[in-house]
Amino acid sequence: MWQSAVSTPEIDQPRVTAILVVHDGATWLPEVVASLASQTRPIDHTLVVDTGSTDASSKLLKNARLASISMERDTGFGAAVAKAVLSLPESDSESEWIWLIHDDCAPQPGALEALLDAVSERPHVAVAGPKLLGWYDRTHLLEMGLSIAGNGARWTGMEPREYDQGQHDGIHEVLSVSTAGALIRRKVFQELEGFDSNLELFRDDVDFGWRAHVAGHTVIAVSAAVAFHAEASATERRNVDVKGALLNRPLILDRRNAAFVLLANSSWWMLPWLAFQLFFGSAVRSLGYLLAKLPGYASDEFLAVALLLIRPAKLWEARKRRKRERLISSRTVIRFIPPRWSQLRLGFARVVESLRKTILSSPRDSGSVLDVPNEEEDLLTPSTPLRWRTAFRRPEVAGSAFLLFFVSMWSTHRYGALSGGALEMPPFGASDLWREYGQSWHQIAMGSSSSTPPWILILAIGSTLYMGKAIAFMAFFFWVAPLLMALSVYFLLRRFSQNSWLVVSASLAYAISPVSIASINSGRLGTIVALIVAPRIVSYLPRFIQIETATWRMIFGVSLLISILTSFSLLGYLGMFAVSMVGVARDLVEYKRSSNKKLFVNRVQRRLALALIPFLLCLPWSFEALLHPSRFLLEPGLLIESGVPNFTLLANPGGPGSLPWWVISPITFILFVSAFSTAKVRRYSNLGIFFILISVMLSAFSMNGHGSSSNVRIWTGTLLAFATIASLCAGVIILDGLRQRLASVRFHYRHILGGIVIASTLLYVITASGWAITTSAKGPVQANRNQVLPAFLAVTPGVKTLVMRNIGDQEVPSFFIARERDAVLGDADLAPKNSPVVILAVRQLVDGSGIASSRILASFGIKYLYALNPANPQLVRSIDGLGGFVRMSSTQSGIAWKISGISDRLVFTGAKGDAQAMPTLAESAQGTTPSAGTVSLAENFDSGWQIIQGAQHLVRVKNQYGLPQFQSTAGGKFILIHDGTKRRAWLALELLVFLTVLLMALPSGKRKRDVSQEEMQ
Amino acid sequence: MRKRRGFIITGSLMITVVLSNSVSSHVQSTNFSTSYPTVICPPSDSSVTSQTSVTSSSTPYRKIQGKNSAFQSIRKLIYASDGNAILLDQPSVTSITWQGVSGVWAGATLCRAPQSDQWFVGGSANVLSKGRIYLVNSGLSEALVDVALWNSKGPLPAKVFPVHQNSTLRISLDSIAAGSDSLVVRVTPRSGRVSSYLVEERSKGLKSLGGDLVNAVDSAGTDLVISGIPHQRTAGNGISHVVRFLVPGTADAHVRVDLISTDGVFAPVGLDGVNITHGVATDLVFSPTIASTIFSLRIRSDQPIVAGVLTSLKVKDHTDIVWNAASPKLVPMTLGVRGLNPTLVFTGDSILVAISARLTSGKVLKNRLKGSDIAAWRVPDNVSSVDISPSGSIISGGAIISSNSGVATFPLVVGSEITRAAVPNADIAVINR
Repeated sequence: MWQSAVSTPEIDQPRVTAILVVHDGATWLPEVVASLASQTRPIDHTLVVDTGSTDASSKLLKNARLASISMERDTGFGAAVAKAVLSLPESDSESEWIWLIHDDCAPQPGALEALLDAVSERPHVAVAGPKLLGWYDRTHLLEMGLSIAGNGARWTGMEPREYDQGQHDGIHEVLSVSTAGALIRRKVFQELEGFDSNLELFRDDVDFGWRAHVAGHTVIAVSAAVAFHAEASATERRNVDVKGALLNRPLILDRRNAAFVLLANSSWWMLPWLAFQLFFGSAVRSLGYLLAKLPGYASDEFLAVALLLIRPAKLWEARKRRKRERLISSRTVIRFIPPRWSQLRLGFARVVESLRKTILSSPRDSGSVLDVPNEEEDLLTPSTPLRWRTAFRRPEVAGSAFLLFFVSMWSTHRYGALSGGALEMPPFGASDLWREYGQSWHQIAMGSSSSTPPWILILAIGSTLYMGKAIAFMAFFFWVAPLLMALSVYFLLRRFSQNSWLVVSASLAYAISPVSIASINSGRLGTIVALIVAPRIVSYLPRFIQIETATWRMIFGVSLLISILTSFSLLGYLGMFAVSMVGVARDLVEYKRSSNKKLFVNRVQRRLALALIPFLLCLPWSFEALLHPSRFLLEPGLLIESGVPNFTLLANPGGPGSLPWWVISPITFILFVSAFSTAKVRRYSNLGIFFILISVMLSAFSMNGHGSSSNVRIWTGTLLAFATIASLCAGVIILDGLRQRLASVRFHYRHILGGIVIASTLLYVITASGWAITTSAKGPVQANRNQVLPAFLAVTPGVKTLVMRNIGDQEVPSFFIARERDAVLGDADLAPKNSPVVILAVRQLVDGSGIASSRILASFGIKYLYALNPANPQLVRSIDGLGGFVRMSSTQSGIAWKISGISDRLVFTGAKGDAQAMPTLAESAQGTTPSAGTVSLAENFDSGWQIIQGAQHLVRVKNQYGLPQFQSTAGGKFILIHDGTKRRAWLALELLVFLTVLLMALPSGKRKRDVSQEEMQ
Repeated sequence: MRKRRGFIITGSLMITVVLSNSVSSHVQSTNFSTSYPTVICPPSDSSVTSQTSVTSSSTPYRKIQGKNSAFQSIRKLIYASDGNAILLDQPSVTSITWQGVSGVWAGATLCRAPQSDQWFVGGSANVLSKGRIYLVNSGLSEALVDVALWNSKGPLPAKVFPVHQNSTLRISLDSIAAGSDSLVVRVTPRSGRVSSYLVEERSKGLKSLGGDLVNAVDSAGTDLVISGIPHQRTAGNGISHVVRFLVPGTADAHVRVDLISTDGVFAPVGLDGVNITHGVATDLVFSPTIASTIFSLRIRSDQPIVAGVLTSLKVKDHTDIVWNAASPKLVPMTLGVRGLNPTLVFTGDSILVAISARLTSGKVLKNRLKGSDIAAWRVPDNVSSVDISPSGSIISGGAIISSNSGVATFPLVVGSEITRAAVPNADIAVINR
């Protein structure tokens, strides 16, 4: 059966010695041996090298009566082959070939013949490899030659799970071929001194191919030769015991060897760039592995690079050896190195494929292209031409079309830079939002060191993804918000009914609910986000009862959702916290009854995680809210009027931009009716009624904050969003199958109630959408409003202007200190309370008694006073009359005065009382004090303000107005800073918590050894 | 079960609605502050003595002069001016400034907060008169002031005067209305915190005919009362008074004048229903034959008018002139009278005025003035301030101060009215687009 080693081949006929390297390959060995034996072109000589197999491999080889050489278990593949070649009789023939076979690689019967045919016509070819297919899925194309990418990645050019349909067939010149099934001219092998001994396993094939090329030889891949490869070592099907494999981890060896191959073979001037690519690639992959919760693989990446770096001599030696062997430039292989765009394209394709599988997986996708089509059935099925109109018969399409039309009409005044209502103007770019989030000191009014709310961070991320255009992002967000709301609630309601028309209609009603219309019209960011996120959170609520069944991944995922809600609405967080605490109380009661401690601990751990993680993620902002509890009742943006309690009872939050009283939504009515329905429905109606009642009570109270000292009613939009969702859930459950149920019984009150619910909903949808498109288009939030502060008042960076203006129909002017610009996103949330001294000065300005107002305002660094038209003539006369205010301009927009005296941000006062202004940048400053004296800073007092002069911190005290003042004992250079160490520490902690939660929420990656072979291939 | 559930839900809804509506806080977005604006006392020429009575030596004041903007205590109860106007921060007490040239003339006016409109009915710019206007800018920025004038021929071209910060501008009437016998002046600050004063001194050759501070009225009206006009009877002949009218509108006015005195109420001859041409300063002379030394005039018109009365008196061995201005409705006030013994004259159909005089010793004298048409009360010696509290129907008040130098009058007007201003709210919305 086997060709004997002593058989003599004919002259000029190629002689092939198969070298089979075995290492714990009992699983695949029988088929491998059989495949070798069944070659159509018989193998001249077969030699087996067993590198210390501990499984049944030795026995199998013995039974097959194959001559074998035994070697140590830690022998590498290259050393095993070298040993085998050495044991062969001396030969210098060009027709002497060695055929390398892995113990998990089974060539098809015609493989050797095809390979020999290819090389016989190409005398310059030194290496030829077969087309490698998967061992388990034999249509899966693994390799057709291979290369190496600039970052060390093994490059086959194949798409994930690429199906072999002959698309790569032919004979192709490649950089290298896998050693599995590689046919190598023995003479060349010996000339090149075999595989590099530094590469015990992995990448020895690429290295050999590269060296063969630069030695003037050619490597080809021959598709007519096919071999099936299990890739047992790469997929961790067996231990990697070779000497160089640290901790027996194949990934370390693979990455280390990849780097070695690149650095040993590339031109010297490419080395820095390659080193950077390798390091950067390792870092990115490490991050990816960490996110996939595979820390072992992440550490492997770095260990691999470290292994190489600690032994540079080996690399040096290898380069010297290659220099000796090289006949042509190493640049000759450049054509085989995949361009970067190919790598990107492939990476993108992998991501898309992964997303497609995750998002769009459906039973319909389970069909395979391999399924044999029933051609007869095709012929029998009458073909109907697909008309686009028929698409609108699908409720999802029709609903989306309606909503798109509605939103387009509704948003006619919102295409551009949005502002108005509770919404401040977005800054120009995402970088401004990032900066605002990171800053320790905010130049708003007299300055604030408050923590930036995390919703700024979320908007910064959104704007960054939107090409860094914050203005465009906000406009897009407001446009797309109703669609997102509808989509979000659609996925929730789909659980309650299979009736798409019903679910889609309810989703549309949600998108144009009173709270949705009011929040979009009046720029209530918090409520808009709550309307989008809340349905997703509510969809998890049923799991909250038996929360022990929820995986930790789900708990962390829901925590992230609640964190988003918390970032925008602490009121929403309060609601979720209450739900968690009620759950804990229930668990406690049940524990006392059942004494099942394990269950109790399991549940409480999960509930506490849900309650605390959002709080931790929003640190330190959330912690500050504990110190100022009123923040729990405030949402992002300006404080504007809300509706009265009776309005709220109809689930309409009221305020500017809200639906008028005559557009009555059926939300409360549905909640009331459903309270008498089944237990399942009542669960939602009770929740909805609870939220309505809380909203009604809260809206009876008023409060101030967010840069406003006026009291306004508490906005309860977020709570009403939950009430709306509960009402829709209850409504959908009731209406699902109602027609059939009512048809089967005699006419009674349920018919009437059902009719009223449907009719009132229809009436609401018609009137609300009509009103939104017509009247509310002129709501508070509008695009491209004129700048408030005239440009000439914003010439100097950070210059303060006291702006007075009658807001809305108020007769009394309000005031605020502007810093060079109009209010931008986040300013209201960060705005400090005004000093009582400033308030008194402004009050006296208005009542005409403020002789000293100008002096006080100047001390606060306020340079200008600006009254917007229509300005109260009495006020203007009073300001003109008081003195200290010099008119600069009077235009249609308003009247501007310059405040007399030194009104700079930083003022030095000498011992004799001589004051002089000192230039400052936006926050920090450098300057020189001419002598001993005091340096006054026109910013709110904060422990972060420091002046360093002569390596010493100057003593910081409060001046008569409560502003920071520094005592300089001698003249000299100084530097003013606001120490942001605390802020940076908080940010680091926040990032750490976020990464941890994200890591826990992401799906876990699997180690290769944990993936089934079938799944792998 | 369902009934019970329905009851609970309905009950909860009703309780919540009732509770929320009952506790629903009224959103008060407007707060008000009250304050007394500081008042200005008039400047004077160097030849004129000027004194101001205050009730406390710690009253903050500052001179309106150059760059001086610091307040300091006045340290005296009678402040003798160096010619500069002063700014007094004396809430609730109205101070009197007494001016004059010793043995020649005397005049008085009240220290008042700057007004947005001031009418001076009096003054002339003929060869006999040396009239002047003082424009005092107590603010710390430059002011622009409109000065409009009318004489017996009609309106004169209006002038605009810039007044530097914290300074006084003296304008001679000759320079803006040369040759005008009868003048009415209106001062309207366009911008700035401006007070204005008018002084008239008359002489014939080297002989002085007297002088006076012409008190201002704030607006024209259809029902004016000029209270406390001094009347002097010489042997057999009553002294003539001149009443000057101006109808600032565009229609002529029909005017009826009643003289109110302890002798009765009657229309003086020549003043009972006269037509006054609009836009012209019209002087009408009347010589009432009454025994009273004080009387008042009540002027009714079908058009808004301003009016003043000029009286020429003999004081010791010289003559003095007195300009009486119309008095607004009397409101409760405190008058600082230290060193002065003014005679307070109240005019009204039914007079009921409670007077409380605080002596320098700290004692308080209380008096209750009751009567009809006209009533007078002379402030006794050693009084530092007088509280005047009118009640009942509309009462107007004036005061007369007599001295060896001359006689002065002024209407009883609150110098610094309590100001109620809406307090602006801090709101970042003002800088939101």
